[in-house]
Amino acid sequence: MSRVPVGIWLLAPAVLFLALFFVFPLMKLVAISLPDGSFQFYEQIFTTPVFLRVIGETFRVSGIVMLITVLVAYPYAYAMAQAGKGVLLVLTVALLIPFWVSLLLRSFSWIVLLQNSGLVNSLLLSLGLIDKPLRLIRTPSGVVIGMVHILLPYAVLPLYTVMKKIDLRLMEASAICGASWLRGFARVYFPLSLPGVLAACILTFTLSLGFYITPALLGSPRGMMIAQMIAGQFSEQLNFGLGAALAVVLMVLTAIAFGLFGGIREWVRRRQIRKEAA
Amino acid sequence: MPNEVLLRLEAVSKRFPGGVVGLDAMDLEVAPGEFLSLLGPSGCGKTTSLRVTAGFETPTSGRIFLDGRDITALRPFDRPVNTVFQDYALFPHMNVAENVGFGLSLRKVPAAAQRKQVATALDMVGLGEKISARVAELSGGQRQRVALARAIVCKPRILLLDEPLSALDAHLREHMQMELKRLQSSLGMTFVMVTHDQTEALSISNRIVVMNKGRIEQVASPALLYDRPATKFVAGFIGTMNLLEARLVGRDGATLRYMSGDLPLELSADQNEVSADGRAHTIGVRPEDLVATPSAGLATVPAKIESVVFHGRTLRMHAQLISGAPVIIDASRQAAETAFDIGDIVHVRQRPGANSVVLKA
Repeated sequence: MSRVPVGIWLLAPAVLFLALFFVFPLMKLVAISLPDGSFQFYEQIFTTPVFLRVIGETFRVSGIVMLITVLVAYPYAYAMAQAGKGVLLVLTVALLIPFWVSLLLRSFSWIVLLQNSGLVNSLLLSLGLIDKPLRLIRTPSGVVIGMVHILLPYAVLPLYTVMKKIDLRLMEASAICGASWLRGFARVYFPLSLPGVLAACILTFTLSLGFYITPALLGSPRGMMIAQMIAGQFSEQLNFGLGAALAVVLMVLTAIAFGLFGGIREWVRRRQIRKEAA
Repeated sequence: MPNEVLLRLEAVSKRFPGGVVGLDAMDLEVAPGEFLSLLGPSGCGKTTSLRVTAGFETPTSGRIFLDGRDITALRPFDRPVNTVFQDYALFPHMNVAENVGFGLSLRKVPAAAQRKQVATALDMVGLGEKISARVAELSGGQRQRVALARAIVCKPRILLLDEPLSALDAHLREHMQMELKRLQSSLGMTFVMVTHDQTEALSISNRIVVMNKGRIEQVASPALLYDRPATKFVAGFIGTMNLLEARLVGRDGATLRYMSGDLPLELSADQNEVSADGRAHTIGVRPEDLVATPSAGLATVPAKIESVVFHGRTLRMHAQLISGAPVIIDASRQAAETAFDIGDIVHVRQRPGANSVVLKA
């Protein structure tokens, strides 16, 4: 008889909850996307240029957002990992307070900041850096700014967790072996922080794929992302089947992206071991 | 003072934020090829002096010279100095060969020459067969050897060792002490080692610097440090020493006569400065230089045995003199007459020909 861990029944409420409110609706969604077992909605998605364009746009924006978020988060996390108690507290609070504010509120705040008469434009105008207001809102850059801001904690926290564990003596050891700070960083610190970079990439990219409110408020209709399109099918077109099929496509693509990142991580690990065995 | 000077610290002070004094105007000269130990309790400044020399800390004042060149302002990676860290600080994402070859690869040494030098360095520390092992697979002692190989491979002018053996168990530590000594003499390299373990310092150094509160108490060879400690602190730190308050009462040629209460003490006049000012001096008397006998005799004072501890070849007795001063007496186990029990009254005197010293505060 196989051994059953003691107290496994404690999982029952969670399993029941997930089965009832997650697995069942998900199966229902898949069923709706396949009326009478026909793949018509999926055919429609993959043969209509507008859907493909929106999917492509979603991945493009997510990629850009991931790149910028991780680039901004890396020095922030580095500063946190190096900081003393007081500075660390300030940096953590500064990071987490926006995190606790509703997503909707934050996206609206960006409208206030980025609109033609908003804070950013009036500041740039009064400094004489620009002659007429920049078009920041209802543009792809507006979406990217808002999404990067919202996703920053998701990138900073895994980076910080990994960096905190890097022994600072290693940088001293590399310096004493003759490495300048930059070379020590490139050959010792950065490789050791890579697991954090990958985790930050996975989180920001996969979360970006499903963003809805921020692109809806800050973006232009031309730069529509897939979540907006799904919402449109359900609430405006009332085409539940197509909406469900789009949702399934998003889910599968997200899973593929997730798997790809996992594969990269495994590849990096394997290469490390191979190099050591050589 | 050494004739030839490799490293010189000139009035080096280090004050940390918050007013903590790490180093207080430290002067030190290190000769080429010597094995020098910095010995002292934690917080005495020994590690700070090492970090200042390596360039990890900038001295608040003072200057550091290496080969006569002022290196005070040089950054760590520009100094021809290497360090073995207490926790080894090996690069976890590199294998043994990459760790050892790290400095060579930064210096753009051709790959073939790199491989050869790495292999030589690893052979030197007796770890040749582990060249492609992962750091995680190594034991503590093996990591220590990798750290050593990484430090010597670039042939630094001076190798700094920060409590290199403190993470090893006692048995391995003793073995590594001898290995360190062998490595140092076969390389002819200058080693400066920080330690808080007096036995370690005494057994492998040419000279020992005893530090306390950011200052140097005494610099001397191990034997001299043991026989002629200069201060109470050194006497208390190196081995065991009875500190007895005594007054100078007379002089017979080369012998100074002191009285500590009713206990007469004789000191050699050549080695101790005479100051017949009548003030009390602290005399350091080693436990093996005190003799306890069952019967009273000339120049003995009574004492009560408080504990007897087995110490292998000797028995260590803690006793209280009639004056109230506690003393420690080491007696040979072979001498049957010294088999005392707790509570016995014994008669204590200084062993003739004892090597006792006047200690400065």
